[in-house]
Amino acid sequence: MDAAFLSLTNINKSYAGVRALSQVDLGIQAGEVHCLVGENGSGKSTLIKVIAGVVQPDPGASILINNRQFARLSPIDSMLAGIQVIYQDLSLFPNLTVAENIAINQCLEEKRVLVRRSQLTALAREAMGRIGAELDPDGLVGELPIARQQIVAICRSITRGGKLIVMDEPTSSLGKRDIEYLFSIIRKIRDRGLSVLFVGHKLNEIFEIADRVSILRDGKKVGTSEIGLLDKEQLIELMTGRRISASTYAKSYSTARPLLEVRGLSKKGQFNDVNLQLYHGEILGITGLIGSGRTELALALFGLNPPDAGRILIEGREHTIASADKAVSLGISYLPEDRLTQGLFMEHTVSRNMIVTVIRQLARVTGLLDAKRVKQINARWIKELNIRTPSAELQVKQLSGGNQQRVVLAKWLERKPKILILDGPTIGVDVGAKQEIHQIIKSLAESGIGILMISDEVAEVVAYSHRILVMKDGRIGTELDAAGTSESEILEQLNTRPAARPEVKA
Amino acid sequence: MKRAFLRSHEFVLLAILIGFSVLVNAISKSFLTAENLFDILKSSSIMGTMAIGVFVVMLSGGIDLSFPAIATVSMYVAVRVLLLFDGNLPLAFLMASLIGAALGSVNAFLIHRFKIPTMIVTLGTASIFHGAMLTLADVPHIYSVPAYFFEFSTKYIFSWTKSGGTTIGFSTLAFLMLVIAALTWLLLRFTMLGKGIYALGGNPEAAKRAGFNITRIQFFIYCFVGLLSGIASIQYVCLVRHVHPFNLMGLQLDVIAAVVLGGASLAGGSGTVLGTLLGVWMIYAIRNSLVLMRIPSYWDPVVIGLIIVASTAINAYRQQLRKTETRVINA
Repeated sequence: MDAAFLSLTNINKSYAGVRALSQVDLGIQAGEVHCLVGENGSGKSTLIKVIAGVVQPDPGASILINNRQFARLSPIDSMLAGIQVIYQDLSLFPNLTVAENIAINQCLEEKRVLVRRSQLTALAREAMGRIGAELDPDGLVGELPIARQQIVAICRSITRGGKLIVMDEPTSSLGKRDIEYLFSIIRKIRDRGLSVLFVGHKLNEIFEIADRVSILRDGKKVGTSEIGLLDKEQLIELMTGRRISASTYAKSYSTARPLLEVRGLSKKGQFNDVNLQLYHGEILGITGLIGSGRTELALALFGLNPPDAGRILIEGREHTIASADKAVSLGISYLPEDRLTQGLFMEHTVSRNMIVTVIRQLARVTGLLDAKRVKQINARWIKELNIRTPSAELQVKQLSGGNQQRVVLAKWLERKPKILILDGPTIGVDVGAKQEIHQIIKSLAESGIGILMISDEVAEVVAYSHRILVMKDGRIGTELDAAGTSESEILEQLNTRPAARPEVKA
Repeated sequence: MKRAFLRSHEFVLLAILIGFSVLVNAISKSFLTAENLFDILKSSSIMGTMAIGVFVVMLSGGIDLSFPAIATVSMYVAVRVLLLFDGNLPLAFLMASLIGAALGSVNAFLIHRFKIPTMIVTLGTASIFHGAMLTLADVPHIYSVPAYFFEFSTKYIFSWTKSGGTTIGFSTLAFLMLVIAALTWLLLRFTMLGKGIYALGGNPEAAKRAGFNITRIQFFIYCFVGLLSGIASIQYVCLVRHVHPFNLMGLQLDVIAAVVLGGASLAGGSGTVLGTLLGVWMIYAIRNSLVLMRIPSYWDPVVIGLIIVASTAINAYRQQLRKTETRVINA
């Protein structure tokens, strides 16, 4: 295992003065599954792009692939050297068959003019045979579930001569059974002497699939280790750089009267018999894996996903929330998980995005906007939330992730909400800005707003909420007091399998 | 394989076409006769040729609104030049298709160079091409065309004479269109260029990443639709024996309706040549039956519009169903 297939030394990369990667070394052996882990913004995706040749590292770097030194790695060099990156979007053609998707690159490389179906099918069958996958070569890719589409993408990488297959968070949209299937395929790839670089951040998956793991934090590599030498808590500590065991918050909210109360809320196939109370000034953390029903629950509270049964009480009065409009009028605001498509009008200015929730109040008798008040609102939030923008007239898409998130916050805070639902408030926000957003959330709670914070970053939930609800398979499994719990306890809760399928240990 | 065909859009369309024909025949009796059917085949061949070109454009995710203008210009210029010396029919087809392809390459250039949406580009060039012709031509009508045009339209691949003296047969015009359809089918199915067109319509970003030469594919597509418009325009001269500057100009709606009805999606990536032909015949069958049932022709555009809306809605609905199906499998 001495000969590394890929060896990166001293990789630095700065974007406009911001260090994305700093002195990173990485070695990947032939025939291993290497996991690359780190929090959002830790530099994982930049490192993948360096390996793919899409991003050039700063001078001084050394890239060695299969004992060949590369001064500059272009995307084509990288591919010819045997590196295949499977991005999250998979880059497949939904309207072509499995065989066509797998074999088309080879046909292009051979500069063919004609295609023969029997040839495509043979190529595809060969690739599928190598990893033991069985798909109908004549089936349309668009009609396959995502998990099977991923297999098609893997087969394509193999026919393209991939010796190192990089998978960028391949499990993010898969259910449990599909993940197991994917892992069985990954093991077969490894057993054939190929390498896999598996990029992710879900711990249970990493412990299941990795031979070795490398950890990135804030653009630096913290270390590489055989997976057997680490336990979950150590890995979390390496990823986050802190051992957060007790909450940094004192209990500063009153439990006299619940602000929001949910009783027996259910929706078939999504969540079941959910009960919770949220108090004025409280940050209630909800965590759970994808598919646990956490986002569906949030949408139900915001009127976008009407429940089948159950009651929702706000300040003691029962309400049926059948639309987002109703939710807003009741003082509920919702920051979606995907602010790019759901939270912001990316092409429009910061100013317009900020006033969109209160636009009716800003209209004068003539129906025109009161420009002076618009300016006041802009100035106020840019200052209070410390939004870094040269002007309120800048398009939102030009801001960084952290600043975009602040614009979403501003737009909802202008509505003066009583209840604020935050779904993944720091997704895609870099490490420094994360801290500031947490501070903003904290001060909002102190002003009396009840905050429901949904996040799959356990560290965030533990550090910044008062109480934590762990959701699993549509139910609220456990309620924990943030002050008396730790990340590892929650992760254990999340990762334990249902009792019906006990793990057998030798 | 057989079951896949039974579930396909083409099969559904064929079934509707047959059912519709039987229904109309029950009302008017003169619909399902060899004479009427071969007549529909002949007169639909112009629209068929155009629809095949437009289908290829839509398959790639684009749209062409300039093909009637391109057809009109190629028709006029080709016939006008041929009138200067004796000429012959093959030369007419050759000239019109070259002019068509040249005008199509203008579309391709604009689309490629400035990345303008194809609809806007072709809407603009349609107006430019047609307007320029009207301005520059001293007389845009040509009422007497050489006899070889007409002769071609009366030739049949096979024919027989009915007792009353009328000839019924498989027209060369329809044959030409079917040959073009077959060649296009071969191109899409057995060449890398064809796969490239499907790939471009299915996922343009992935097509670029996979290494398809997008520029070349787009030039081919827009020249191809131009070329077919040129051929169709000469088919038209054969059939009506004169050149008119406006008669072809309203065809966008009918042709696009036929292609969409045939199963092509406006978003690109789906559809077949067979479906396109069925779509054309469906439109013709409907028009023809409206005449047979003595419904005023003012109703034609209403019916065509309804077909576009209904068939797009059905396609979208089917896609939605399929998506829910996949989601259930995933869960």
